[in-house]
Amino acid sequence: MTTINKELFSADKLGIYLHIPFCVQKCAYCDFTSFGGASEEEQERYVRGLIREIREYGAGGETGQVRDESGPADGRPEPAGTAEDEGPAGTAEDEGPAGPGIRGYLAESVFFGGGTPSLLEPHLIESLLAELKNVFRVSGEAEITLEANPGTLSAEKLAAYRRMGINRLSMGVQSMDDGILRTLGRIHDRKTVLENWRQARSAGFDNINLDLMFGVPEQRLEDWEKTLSEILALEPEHLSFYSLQIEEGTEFYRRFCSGSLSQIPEELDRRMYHTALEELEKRGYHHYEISNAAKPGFECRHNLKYWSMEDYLGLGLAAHSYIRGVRFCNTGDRDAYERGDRLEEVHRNDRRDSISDFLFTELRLIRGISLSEFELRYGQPLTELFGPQVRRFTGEGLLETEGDFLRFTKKGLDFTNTVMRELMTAGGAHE
Amino acid sequence: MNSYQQYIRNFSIIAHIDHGKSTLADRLLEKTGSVATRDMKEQFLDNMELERERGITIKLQTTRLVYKAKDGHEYILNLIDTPGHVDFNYEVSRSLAACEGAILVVDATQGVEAQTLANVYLALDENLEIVPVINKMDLASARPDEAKEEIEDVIGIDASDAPLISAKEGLNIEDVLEAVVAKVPAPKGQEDGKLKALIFDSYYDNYKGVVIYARIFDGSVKKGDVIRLMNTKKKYEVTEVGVNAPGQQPVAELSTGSVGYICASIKQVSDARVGDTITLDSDPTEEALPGYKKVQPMVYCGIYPAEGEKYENVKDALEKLQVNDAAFLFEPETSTALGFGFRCGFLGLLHMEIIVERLEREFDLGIITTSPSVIYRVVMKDQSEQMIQNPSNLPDIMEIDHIEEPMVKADIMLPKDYVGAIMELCQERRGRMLHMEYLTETRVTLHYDMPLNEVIYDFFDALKSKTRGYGSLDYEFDRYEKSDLVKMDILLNKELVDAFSMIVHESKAYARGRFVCEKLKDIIPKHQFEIPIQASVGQKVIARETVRAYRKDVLAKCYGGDISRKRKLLEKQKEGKKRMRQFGSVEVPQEAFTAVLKYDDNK
Repeated sequence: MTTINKELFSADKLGIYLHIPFCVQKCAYCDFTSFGGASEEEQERYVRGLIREIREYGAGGETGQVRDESGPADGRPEPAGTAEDEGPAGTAEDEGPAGPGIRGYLAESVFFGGGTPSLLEPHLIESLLAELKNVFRVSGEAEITLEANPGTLSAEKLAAYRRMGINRLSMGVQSMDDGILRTLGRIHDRKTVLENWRQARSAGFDNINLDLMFGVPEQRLEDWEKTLSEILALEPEHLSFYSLQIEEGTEFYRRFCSGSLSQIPEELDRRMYHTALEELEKRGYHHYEISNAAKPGFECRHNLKYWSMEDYLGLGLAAHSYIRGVRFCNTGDRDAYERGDRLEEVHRNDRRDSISDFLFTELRLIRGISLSEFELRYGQPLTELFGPQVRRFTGEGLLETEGDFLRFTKKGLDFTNTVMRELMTAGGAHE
Repeated sequence: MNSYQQYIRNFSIIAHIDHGKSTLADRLLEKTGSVATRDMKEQFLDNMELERERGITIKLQTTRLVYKAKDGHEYILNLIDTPGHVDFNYEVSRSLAACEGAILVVDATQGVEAQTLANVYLALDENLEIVPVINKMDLASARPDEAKEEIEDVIGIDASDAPLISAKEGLNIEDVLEAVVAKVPAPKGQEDGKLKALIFDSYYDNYKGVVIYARIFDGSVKKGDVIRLMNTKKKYEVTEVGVNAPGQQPVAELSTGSVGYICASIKQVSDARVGDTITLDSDPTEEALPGYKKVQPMVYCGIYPAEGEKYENVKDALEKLQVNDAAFLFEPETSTALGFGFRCGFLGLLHMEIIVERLEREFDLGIITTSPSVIYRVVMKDQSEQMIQNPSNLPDIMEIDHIEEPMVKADIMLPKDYVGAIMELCQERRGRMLHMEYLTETRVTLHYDMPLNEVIYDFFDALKSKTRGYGSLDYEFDRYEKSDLVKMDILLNKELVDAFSMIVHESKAYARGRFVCEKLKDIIPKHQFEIPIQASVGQKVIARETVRAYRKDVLAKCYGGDISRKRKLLEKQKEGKKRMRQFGSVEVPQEAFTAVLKYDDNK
């Protein structure tokens, strides 16, 4: 194997995710790889490790540590799913599974996720960005997002981010109710949100996502409606709205198990969700993924890569990647990572995995899964491979077909797991 | 009497569960040098894992011990172990019939128990010499004088010189051996008589075929003899005879008065049934030994392959078990809910539990068992009779004149402090007290007339829990009696699930129906739709619960590119669903079938 002609891959596009695992403090519901209370020195050491990882991709591209030219396992790249600005995403290892000259890819999006990337001093973010541009081809039009949590921001910081080329912010607001923010273990209050929002706009950010959370213990419908209306009044370009999930290993999980925390009724959770959908629609937002809506043209390009089986490279601790049919991820062990001992798991998707992933991610899109694209990828119509399941769920009013797309109905959006569970494990995924 | 016979002693050990029978047997083996101490597994004779775990003997073991007594002579002591549970009474009686004496082990802290007593009576029926031994002398709470007194009062035998031992600590074990030599009579068979041997155990060996354990009463048997089994009337050529020393050791001949094993290429244990008499085909004895009985199952249940388990695997395992267990019956049956399976017959509930556990553990099978049932005698309007053990087979109620159920005589022995609680329990289980007997000032036997169907569920567990383990139970079939019985069905989402059907007494139907519905409500997961759970008798719904529908099943987010994690989560959930049974559109976890069988103390 020798150096690969970069031109060969000039058409290949990439999203790059960088994981910054530091927070002021861990939130009660959070099960991402993140640490509260890290010192500046620790942060700097981590960033140095991250820079080393980026550089190794650069070296890999030049010396041609390349596996093959045969392309992905199933003949096409694949998507991944995610909601707006979530935790760690993909990564590749030096000579690892990223394979042939990943440097040759054109990065269309860069996403600093966390943790709380805005906890870092701007010069650290800047050095990462510079390193990325040094090693990868970053498109001049690239969407460059930074997750920025209220309470860690200032006018100066925001101006610096803007100057270095960050063109999209994703703010973890979660709620405009101070009581709920306390329950969640957030460090900010409503007032801070409004202040940081003004500062962000003044700094020139014209593409901002706000993260909201509903279904929080004790939350009432009117609390949620109030948060929604205050947030909509700010007219953000993008909104993510998540139903709280109690994940194992979190503070919430312990409290839930001990009985000191109870979940809101499922009916109420769904009313909150559908209320949000209605409000967003009234305000002209485009509901494009289960938990995401945007003003037309402001859909998150980075996350869309996850939802349409496009390639992405995750850098940093516990970051996940998907390149040319191969999924791989970095270790979540900080020491190992900083030693350069990064790669944890590599999985080359077979046809069955690929079909599962495709269904799983694409169905998260409100427009649904393209039947013609499915057939193009897998050589068989979806309705042939999953006939009984599609008929069953269509019959139950959970799925519907419109034109080229198979998608969830409004009702189906409440039972996405029920449907995906069946589809992903159905025998029809085999040839 | 031939001289060698005077140095043989054939004996059993009678003890209540937990009173130390197996431990004593171990000590006897150790003391006589039959097993090197380093080879001792705990409780040598209980060689099934399950037996050791439950502390009960299911299959008997027999062992030949050589003991040099204080009189200077060497004795052959044949220890014939007996199974220790009420379900295996017949086997116990046949083992005892092979002996001249029995060691009665009484716990110095607890005294005589019902189970012990029942076996003592069996032993007395066989005219055995009883050698009482007081065990657990190492415990601070030992009351040897009270235990002796109880033996004398209750059983009516002299216990004044009973050895005081601790099997656990190995205390005074030699006294036991001396007492056996001194008190148990030597066999008195006719050496030149026609062969007469009693089968008291048999099991299947993959290489040898059925291995019969037998006591030679008259005559002798050796390799090459053609033997005849007098009750099954089958003939076989003997391929090997031997003794357990322990570990099978072939010998040239099994002679009069001795105990050993016989192999004769017999294919299954039901051809060499316990209690049958072996004689020589060429020179048969006229009369078989008394007491042979073909044991009949009293309790039935359905056994079905669980989801993902193969019918053939279950069938193979059942066949293997049956080869070794003449009391266990099975035949194919079909359930609309569970598909193809087997209706299985057992001696009792413990026997059933043991078989089910062995299927799961030794054969590693996934199975579902349906509610246990007794055999009902159904008298039709045209006066014809049907014996029904599967509730689903109950004929149309319009054609039934009446139903009769099996009644048992139950003897419950307990400390008098618990009498009130147990009388209440028995009454609740439709028991009728016949009389109460004071065994001593503190111990009482309650004699009850009870429907078997009330005993088979969890009566024993309830008895144990209400008497803190001190109560004991013995029962035997008495008669059939007319009773107000009804068939109760369970409907899930309006569809009848036959595997849950059961026959209950009319007066118990409501409570039972409520219980089952509540249990199922807790166990059946939420579906996308509401699921009514109903218990019905005939057309009438007597209990109802509802499993509410779930309103959401979503994954709000899918972590930054970490697709595989969420995919695995869904796959895991799907895997869990495989352990579910699909009834119409309702998915029922397999635990549901066992959960509805267990009564709660609180309910």
